Amino acid sequence: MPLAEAQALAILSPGVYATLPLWPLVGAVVVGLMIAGRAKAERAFWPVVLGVAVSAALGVTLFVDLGRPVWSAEGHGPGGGGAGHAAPAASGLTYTLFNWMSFGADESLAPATNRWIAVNFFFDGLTGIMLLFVTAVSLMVVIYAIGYMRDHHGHPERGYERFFAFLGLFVFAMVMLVLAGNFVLLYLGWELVGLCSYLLIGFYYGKPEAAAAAKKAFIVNRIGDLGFALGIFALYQFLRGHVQPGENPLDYAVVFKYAHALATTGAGLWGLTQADVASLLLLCGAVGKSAQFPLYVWLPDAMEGPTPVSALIHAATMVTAGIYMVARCTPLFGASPAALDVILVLGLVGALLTATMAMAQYDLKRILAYSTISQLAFMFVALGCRAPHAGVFHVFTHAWFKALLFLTAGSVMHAMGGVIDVRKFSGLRTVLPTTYRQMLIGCLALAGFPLLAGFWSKDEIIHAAFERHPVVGGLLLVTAALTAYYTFRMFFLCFHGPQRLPPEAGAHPHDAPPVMTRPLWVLALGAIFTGYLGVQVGAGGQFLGVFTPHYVFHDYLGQSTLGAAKAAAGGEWLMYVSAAVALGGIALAWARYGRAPAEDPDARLLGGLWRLWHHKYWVDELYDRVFVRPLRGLGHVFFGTDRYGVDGLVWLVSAVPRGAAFALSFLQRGALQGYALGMAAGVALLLLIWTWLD
Amino acid sequence: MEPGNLLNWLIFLPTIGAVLCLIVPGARAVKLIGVITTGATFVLSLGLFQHFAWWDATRDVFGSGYGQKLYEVTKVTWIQLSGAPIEYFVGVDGLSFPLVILTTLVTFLAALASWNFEHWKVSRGIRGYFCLFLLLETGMLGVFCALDFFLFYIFWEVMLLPMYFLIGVWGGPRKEYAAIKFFIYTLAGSVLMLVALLAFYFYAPAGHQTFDLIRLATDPAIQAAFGSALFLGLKFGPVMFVLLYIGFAIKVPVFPFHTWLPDAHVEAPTPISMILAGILLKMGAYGLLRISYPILPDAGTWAAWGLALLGVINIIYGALCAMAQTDFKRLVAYSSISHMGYVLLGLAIMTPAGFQGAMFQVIAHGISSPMCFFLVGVIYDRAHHREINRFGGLWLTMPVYGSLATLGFFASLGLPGLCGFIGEFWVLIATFSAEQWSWAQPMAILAATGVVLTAGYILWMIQRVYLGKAREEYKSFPEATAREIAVLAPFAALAIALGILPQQTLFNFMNGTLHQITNLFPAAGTTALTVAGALLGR
Repeated sequence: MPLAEAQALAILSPGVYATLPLWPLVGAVVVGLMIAGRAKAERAFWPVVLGVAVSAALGVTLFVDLGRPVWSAEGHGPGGGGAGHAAPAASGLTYTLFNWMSFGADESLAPATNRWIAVNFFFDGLTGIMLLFVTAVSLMVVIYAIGYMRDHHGHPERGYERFFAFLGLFVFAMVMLVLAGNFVLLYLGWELVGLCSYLLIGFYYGKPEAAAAAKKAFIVNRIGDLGFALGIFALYQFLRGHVQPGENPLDYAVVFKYAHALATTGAGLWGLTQADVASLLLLCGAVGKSAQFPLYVWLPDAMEGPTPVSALIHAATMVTAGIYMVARCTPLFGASPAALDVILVLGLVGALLTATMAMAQYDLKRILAYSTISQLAFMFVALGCRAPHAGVFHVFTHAWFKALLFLTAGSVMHAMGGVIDVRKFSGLRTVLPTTYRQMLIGCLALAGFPLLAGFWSKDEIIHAAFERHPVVGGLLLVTAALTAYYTFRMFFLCFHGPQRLPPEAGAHPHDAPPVMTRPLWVLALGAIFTGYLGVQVGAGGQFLGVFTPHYVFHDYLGQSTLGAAKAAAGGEWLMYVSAAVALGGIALAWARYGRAPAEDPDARLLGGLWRLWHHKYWVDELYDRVFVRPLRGLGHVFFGTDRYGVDGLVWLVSAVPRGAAFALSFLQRGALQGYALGMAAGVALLLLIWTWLD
Repeated sequence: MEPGNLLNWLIFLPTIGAVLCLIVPGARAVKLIGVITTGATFVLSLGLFQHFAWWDATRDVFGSGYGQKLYEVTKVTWIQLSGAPIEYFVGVDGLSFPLVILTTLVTFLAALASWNFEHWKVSRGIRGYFCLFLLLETGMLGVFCALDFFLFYIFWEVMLLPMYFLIGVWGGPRKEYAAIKFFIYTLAGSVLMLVALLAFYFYAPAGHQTFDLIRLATDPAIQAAFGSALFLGLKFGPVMFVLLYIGFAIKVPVFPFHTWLPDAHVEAPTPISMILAGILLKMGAYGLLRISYPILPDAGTWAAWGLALLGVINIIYGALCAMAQTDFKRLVAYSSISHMGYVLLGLAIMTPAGFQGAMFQVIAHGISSPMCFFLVGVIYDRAHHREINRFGGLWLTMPVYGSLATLGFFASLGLPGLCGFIGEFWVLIATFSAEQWSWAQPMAILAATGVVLTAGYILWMIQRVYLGKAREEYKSFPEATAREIAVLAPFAALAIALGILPQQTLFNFMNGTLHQITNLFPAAGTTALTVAGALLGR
């Protein structure tokens, strides 16, 4: 079901949708001006909240607008309207704002035909879905932050205005990333969200850990981005020979148009095709941004930032950018089996590795952080199994319940006076009843409890994995069981057992104010119901006789560069298995942690293995020894070379004339006999040369 | 060629100011003269915009040859020689125009940065300082406007002497050492340039002898003679190219001729560092683009492999050295070396895109590096030391300054949306896709790792200086003053403008001329491949 340009975007014109990124930026700039004008911090959130709200309104409108072919389609069956044949690669609408940079006019073409890197936006089904949750979740988080970034008396924290300015800037950057219509603009959004992440992780820059975490996040991401940039260069290099006059070589539409040609041309390197090389290089960027093995190390440390930031950037939106990029480039990655296999392996390793790490942590936010990495790895597996629709579906549902989880964790932290160590408190269900209910919904969704959002999307990925290979599916099932277990271990440690409070919590800890809890209810609704966009309810379904996977979500996504989704065939039993796995994990957690024991039973039972998990396999220490310190050492080696080698050589050169001058100065001591002798010798020498030359 | 007088005023207005500085009474009047003169020069230079179309991407790209589109030209005989006259020949084209604007702007802002002269711990007076400062501007503008090689050489030397004194008299503790090192290095370079200058004159066929840089590049008879001549038994072109290259490389500076730079920067007063990094380093790149490549294109292809390698060495070597620094200013100095490596790499591959990237990087670095040096100067004025490890938490103490500093260093780091990104990106993509060179892709990949190293040393520095707990001894530091913000704000605005509208702010001005220069080259690297192949042992 390709998105024909004529029928696309009828509610508002593309030019109006193109202002989507602008509003949060305007809000951020206004706040910046307020800071410069030394306005009071109290109301500093308004410009950004309004800006994000306008964006969210536009995002919802765009979502509805792009989906008109889907809404109007009569009668839905598995496979939707596009069943049987893949949609053309470039099925979106490219809207150009202005030309950014020219590759220079090509003289072989007609005069004045420039090849541009344009500032252009790309609209298709994937854009619609991404923008819907990016803007909506952002809005909830921004509203929540109004209350969160205040102390117990309701006074704004230091840097309150700055926080909102950065949030506005972040939403701008993220929307740019999603809307970008070419790879260079994507790279711009990509690096800008990295910058915002840096600024927001380091928000409490007075804290040395926060400063270090911010730096780590940026540099680790830059390592991935290095590959990403090289991927862009490679694409340009490969496509230069293909593009026709008027086509910009790095536009999505153009790249995907020629993806097939790239897949059939060798790159002259280890037997890889050009599509392989470009995909693998681009993948590096996704591995960094989406915190995949082996570049995931920055994400847990990123929890040094304020909790709304963790919710928004490091769980719900920014970290999905890598998944988005690979899904967006489905025509390219799909043409490269090698890249897909790499994605699959990285995803499997990451999912299992970080799930085990999450088993043995005590920091509430870090447990959630490792679960985020693990879930992102699930999405990677989906991409690697040629099921990008399932991956994007999980991105979509995950955004709601992970934002919910982080923000409720923030509520706990807020009530506990900043303490997030789950050993320091327990039995909070009576102290924070609202937070308890909200977190329960989030945990159930994350654990894959049947009928909640996370269940449907996760199950679809497991399904795709089993189709790929039973071992892949089996490993994912194990990870899913671990997920249910560690999620509820955390939940029971916090909310069940005897009531214990840390001294920092004060005398009367209480639930958060309405400005914080209300957006959470919206997210909770999302955590429960968003899955039903992708699941058809009706008699004769595969699961419990009522539910059939594959619904409007997939049709909607079918009209994008992902192409039509194919419905899963067979394997109805899998849904029961994954439901059982989730329930089993939760039950086991209840058995072991239901009373929030003071001493950790797992630590005792598992011994060395548990310590290995607790210390995260010592990966951070390993990287420090293998990369960070040697590099710093290399810096000193180079500087030493510069100081004593190169500059020493310079000194030697300059020593020659100085030495000569010093030596010759002995000849000039004012003794006339010496001068006379020298003169006579000189004359004799000259005469000798003269006769010899004759 | 369009004749005009604007450039003459531009070049010599600072000289008039320099003379005035010597006669007006009182230190404050001298400062005023300095700022007003540089300000007026800047405003005057804006008049050049009338000749260039920021809105037109294709103007001047086709249909005219190198040197045909020159504006504000003055061409009069200066010294009559037997063969040909030495001319006072000045003019601007798309290559020199952005550099002229950059020069007048950075000099003006550096003059503003000199306003707190009384607080510097120096023994010598302000009169000499501003007099030399203005003479320096004449020299710099002259270099960028001169189109006669002899005149170019004169201005090159005119610029050298004031710089020597400005470092050597008003500098830091080791000022004499740094100044003499700078002087001898540059002088050695200009001697080699002088040899090339004379050789160009004498090796041209009779009747074609000239110092005119445009004719040297475009006269077929001269080009043919240069192509076949021998110089001391060696091929003329490569020898001349190497002589000129060493001269320019010292200025850029290129490894291994760079060791004067960190010393000079560390000792120079802040405004002089700004000029040194912002403009003087750019003269090396400008010289290569104006003299070496148009006149000796074959030698350029012959040397391409080595020059690109030197560029890559600059990038990595500079970045790693910067990582090891504890002196804030020395760190920025090494980062300059690293960033200028991209310029060298872009030039070496000799394609239009490479030249565009190199020139963009020249201007971008001309904006970000003076800003960074001034940022260092601001805290040096307060703390009177530059030890990175002794700072901490300055963002908490000075929020406005801290924000501007973050912007400046991120521009230097190459964040997309700011000026540094476009230059690096353009050079790298041009190198990566330069199909005529077999070595181009490995070089591009190596150079790209510099991007990570840059992030490493800059963020590590930011962490140690600006983030972390506010230290007790710095809590009393006043926020950036209005004057300091006035110096930083134009740089910040330009860093953003160049990042967002690169085509309109820069590419459209210079692409035409750069294209004309590459059109002078022989058909894409046929000879070069064999030479490079021989060097690689293939």
